[in-house]
Order: sequence, then structure tokens, then C-alpha cells
Amino acid sequence: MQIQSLSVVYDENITAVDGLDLDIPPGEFVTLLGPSGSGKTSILMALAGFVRPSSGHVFVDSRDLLALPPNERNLGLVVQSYALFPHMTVEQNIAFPLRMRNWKQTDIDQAVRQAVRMVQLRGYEKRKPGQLSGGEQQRVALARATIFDPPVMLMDEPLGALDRQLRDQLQSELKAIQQRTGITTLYVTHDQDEAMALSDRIAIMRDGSIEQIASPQELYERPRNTFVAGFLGESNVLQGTIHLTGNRVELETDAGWRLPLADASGAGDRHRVHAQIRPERILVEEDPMDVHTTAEVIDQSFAGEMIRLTVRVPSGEQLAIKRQNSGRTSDFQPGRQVTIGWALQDMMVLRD
Amino acid sequence: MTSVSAETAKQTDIPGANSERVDVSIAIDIQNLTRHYGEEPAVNDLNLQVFAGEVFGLLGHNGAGKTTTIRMLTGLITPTSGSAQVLGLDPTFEGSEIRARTGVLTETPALDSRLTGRENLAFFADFFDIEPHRARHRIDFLIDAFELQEHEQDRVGTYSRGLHQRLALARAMLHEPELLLLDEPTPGLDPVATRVVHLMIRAFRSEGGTVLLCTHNLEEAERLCDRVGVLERGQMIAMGNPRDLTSRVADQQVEVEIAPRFRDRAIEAITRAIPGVRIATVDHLVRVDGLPRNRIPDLVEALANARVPVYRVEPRVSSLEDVYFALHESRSR
Repeated sequence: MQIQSLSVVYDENITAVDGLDLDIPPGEFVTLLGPSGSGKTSILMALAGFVRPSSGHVFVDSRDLLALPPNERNLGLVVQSYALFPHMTVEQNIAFPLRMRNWKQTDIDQAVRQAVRMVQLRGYEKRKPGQLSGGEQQRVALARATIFDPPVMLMDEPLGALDRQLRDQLQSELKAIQQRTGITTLYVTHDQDEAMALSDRIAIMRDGSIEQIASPQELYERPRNTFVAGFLGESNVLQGTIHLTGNRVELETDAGWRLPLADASGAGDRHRVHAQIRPERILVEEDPMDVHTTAEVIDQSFAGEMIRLTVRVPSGEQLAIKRQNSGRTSDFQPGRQVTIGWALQDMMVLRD
Repeated sequence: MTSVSAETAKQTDIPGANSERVDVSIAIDIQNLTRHYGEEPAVNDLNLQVFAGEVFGLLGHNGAGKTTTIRMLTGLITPTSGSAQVLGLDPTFEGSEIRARTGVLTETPALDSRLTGRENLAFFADFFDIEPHRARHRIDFLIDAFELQEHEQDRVGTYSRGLHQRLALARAMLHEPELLLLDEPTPGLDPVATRVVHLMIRAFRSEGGTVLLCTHNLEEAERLCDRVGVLERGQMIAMGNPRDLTSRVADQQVEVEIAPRFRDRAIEAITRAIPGVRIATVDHLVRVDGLPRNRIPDLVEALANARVPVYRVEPRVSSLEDVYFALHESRSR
């Protein structure tokens, strides 16, 4: 699927999607991730035909979707609001789109058998949604969305209404089904963990445009800017000025802390930049460390398997640190002086 | 102020949208449509584009012009002036083709009360010239989908209002239409019938169908519609996303239930903490007007600090009247 300069403008002046370009190779799972109002749902709605784009093209198998009426677009759609029919059996729910299109009964039976196998619900055909768990219901919805073998599947927060535990379990099922069917998938969520767990690539959306699109790992390791760094996981961001002297690259933070850096990511001498380091990359009382400083612990809190520390370095800046909970929880009481540090390449300059 | 404007989005650079070809992305295109009954205009210079694939809600009371609009769209009456296109066709000259591709649910659907539910559907399948085997298949599906299995052999004269309406909507969908025109599908229906009707409207949309839904039920519009327009005295007075429209009014009014003897203390605490709100009281109820939703916590805090026992704090659910009121208020400002 190729999306070319897609724009959606509401009421002539509110630009929900601003000239979006996005190429999705066959079989890829791409997630649009962003805060509400970033335009991610508008993109999906424009593709499905529920919202009229003001410009752009969307090519699927070399046909422009936007030139087709919505009932001929043949997209699989999974949304929170389109619930299962409570009075119909699993089989009837899955067959629904085909019956709506008045397919021949023999063709419907065959497609339903295949879809039921695909989502591993054999033996459940005659049950009604009320007799299924939340996960099983979601699998029925997936089967219904994919029964006519759509080239592209669109999913808008399909797990949004479920509790945490069920979501985790369904994520892996959803991923497995997507891989089995090989259907190109565009997924919308505002849940970063979900996006990380499911996607081949994630597009971080802001104000109708893509801030950065990359694999989950690359986005996490090499965010382009403070927005991406802050949106995906927690991040310590320091603002300051770059100093280049010979081969040495240093950041002088606004509070006057001078830190060596592995490279300046293209920033020149005296450029104002943001640099970031992830809380789990900061080590406490460990040897050897490329960069190290003393710091005072000002807070310690527990988050299950992780312990979160907040420390203050001599220049006054505060850093968040995450450590595995090793059981020695009283090690870092507030007030204690510690040595912290990190590997040189773990602090990086954000490109813009 | 949120974005509710009576203008529709401009059409630019849509592939396949050149003038020789029919623009597939617009299902209904209404331009300056007017219809008089005697001196009174029932529909007055109406402009509206319904996009293919959306559920568009036309909000308005009886007499606002909804039914007249639907009748003009299907070619049953001719406009006094202005024009309309439905699925690229002109209702005045191509009404029968429009009706062949459109399902219509009127406020008082005429079903034959002497026939059974299934016979009614079969009668219309015959009327639409649907090939018998195909018709049977379709009727089986609709009877399942609308949960009519237990009543299909009963005479329609014995049907409850809910059953009657489910059958009427099934009939509207019988000939696999691309477009549904629904005039007040749910008032007075039992919860089961309402649920089935709503599910089927969503399902129809999910399959790429377009719906024009006339309703005076704000909650229904919010649940089902992609966009809504508010019609009053034949004119569109606002258009936009249903949540924007309702949040303008819904967020403004809060009802607080307190112990009656703390009323004065409550009023004092609220006015001191949140200046500019209007307060009305009846017995143990304090109604606060002009309070944005995000200030509700401040209200609760102010009452708690003043040690007023609070039994209930509830943002008021708005009705169509509230929308009208808010729209008129903002227009006259």
C-alpha cells in the first residue's frame, strides 16, 4: 500500500492529516502511534471511506482506493465500535459480511470454515458471543474482518476497551494471526507498549504528520527529536550547547555540566541541542563506566520488577534512573551520595 | 469555540472526481434546495454533501424539514427551487433508479398487517424483481440479522412497535441498497429493537454503505454518526463532528445534590471558587450553569473545603433543545 500526499481537512481550516506519505510493503505491520488529535484515526477513516480526504492517492495493488466507492474498497476493518451480534453464533458473525454481500451459501460455508481455522476457534462455531471470553470474541471480530481475504487490514484501537492482562494476551494472538495471514496491516493506537509489541514499523504522529517512522528498536534507540524520545518510553533530556575541540565532542548543559559525547549527530560547534539518555542506561555504583559523576539520591520508588531512582548531579540537574529490582531495595535511600555513569554512546544528540 | 460550521469541505484534487465522471465519494449532493408548502418553506435553501461511506445525522425536531428533504431525495416530491443529486442521479427524472439503489425507512412504514413478516419481505422482493432463489437467501439473512426468527410466521398486525420497525428496516435493506435514508428509526422502540437497529446501521456502514439518519436523539447521533447537521425551520444551522457539537453544551451544566440546609454555604463556596457561573437551586439540588467540564474538580474541591456534604455531582446530559439553545446563544453574541 502506498499513501501519497494524503490530506484531511475538516471544516476548511482544521488540518487533521497534512500531506502524508507512507509506503507499506506487502505483509508489513505498521502502527500509527500518537497522542489524540495527531491525525492517526483520520488516516484510517479516510482509507476506509468514512472521511473524505481533501487530496492524495492511496494505491493498493496499483488501484487508487480513493477513486473507489467505499463498498468496493474491500478493506478488512476492526474497530472498537463495530461489535459482534450477540444473538448470532460465532459462525453467523463471521459469515456476516459475506451474507451482507449475498454470497452463495456454499462459498460462505467454505470461507467460514477457513476463517474459523485461522483464528483457532474450531469447536466454538455454534456458541454465541456471550459464551466466549473477551479474547475469543476479539478473534471472532478478526475472522469477520479478514474473511473476504482483504489485501489490507485497518485496525483502530481494537484492544482499547479491554483490561491490561487481556490486552497483553491478545497482542500476541493478534500478531500471530497477522503473520499467518500475511495481510498488510495498518494499526492505530495511543498505547506505546502495544505498538512496540506488535509492529514491524511504528510511525510517530504529531499534528497530522509523521515525526519519525522506523522499527520499534530504532525509534527507541535513535529518536530523531525530543517529541519522539518523550513519546516512546521514558527519557532524560538535557538541553545545552555543543563544543567541538579536535576529535572531542562535549555537551555543556545550560546548568554548566560538561559531558563527553560519542558524536554530535551532525551538530556543529556552539549549536544548541537536546541530548537524551534512557533511564535504564544509567548505571549506579558500577565499574567501569565511560562517563561518571557523583550524585545525590533524592527519591526512590518501586514499580514491580523495576526500581526508579531520581538523582541530582552537582550542577543541579535531575536524572531518572531505572534499575532491576534485585531485592537489595534499601541500598539507595534518599540523601545518599552515589556514583552514576554510562557508556559513552548511550547519550546521544537528538537530530532536531 | 469548537469547529461547527455550516460550510462543507471543499473538493480538491480527488482522483476520478473530474466533471465528466460521477464523483463516487459524494453520495448525496444538495444545493440550495428549497421546498414550499403554500407560503411556508419546509426546506429553505439547504446545502449539504453526504460522503459515500459515512453515516450523516440530520438532527432536528418534527417540522424541521427532515422528512420533506428525504421525500425530495427519492423523487416523491419536486423541489420548489435548487437541486439535489443522489448517487449521481437526479431525483426529479431518475427517481425510480434512485429508489432501486436506496433503502428508505419512513416514519410510518407501510407494511401489510394481514401478511406475515416473511410474506411482507417476499412481497417486496417480488416488487423489486429480485430473482426468487437470491431473494430467499437474502430474506433468510435479514430475518436472522434482525432477530425475527420467532416472529417471521406471525401476521404483522400482531407485531409490537419494535418488531414492526425491525421488519421495516429489513425491508429497506432487502434489495442490497448502497444508501439508506432513515427517518427517525428508533423513537419508542424497546431496548432490544434499538440495539438491533443500531448494530445493523453500523454493520451497513462497515460494509461501505452510506446512511442519512434523521433523528432528534442526540445520544443516538453521537453513537452512530460520523458527522451531523442541525436542521431548524428548513435550514442547516450547524454542521460538524457530533462530539464537538454536544460537548459545547454538555460540558456546561452540572447538577449537585447536597443536604438542603447547606445550600447557602454551597452557593457561597462555588461563587467564590469559580466566579462567573450561574447558580439555581431547588431544595437539595444546586444547578451550576456555565461550568466547563475541566472545572468540575474545582467545584468538588470547593464544596469539600467548605464542608458541604455532597451526595451526587452529575454533568447534565444535553438534549437537542440544549444544542439549539447554545447555537442561538452563540449566534446572537
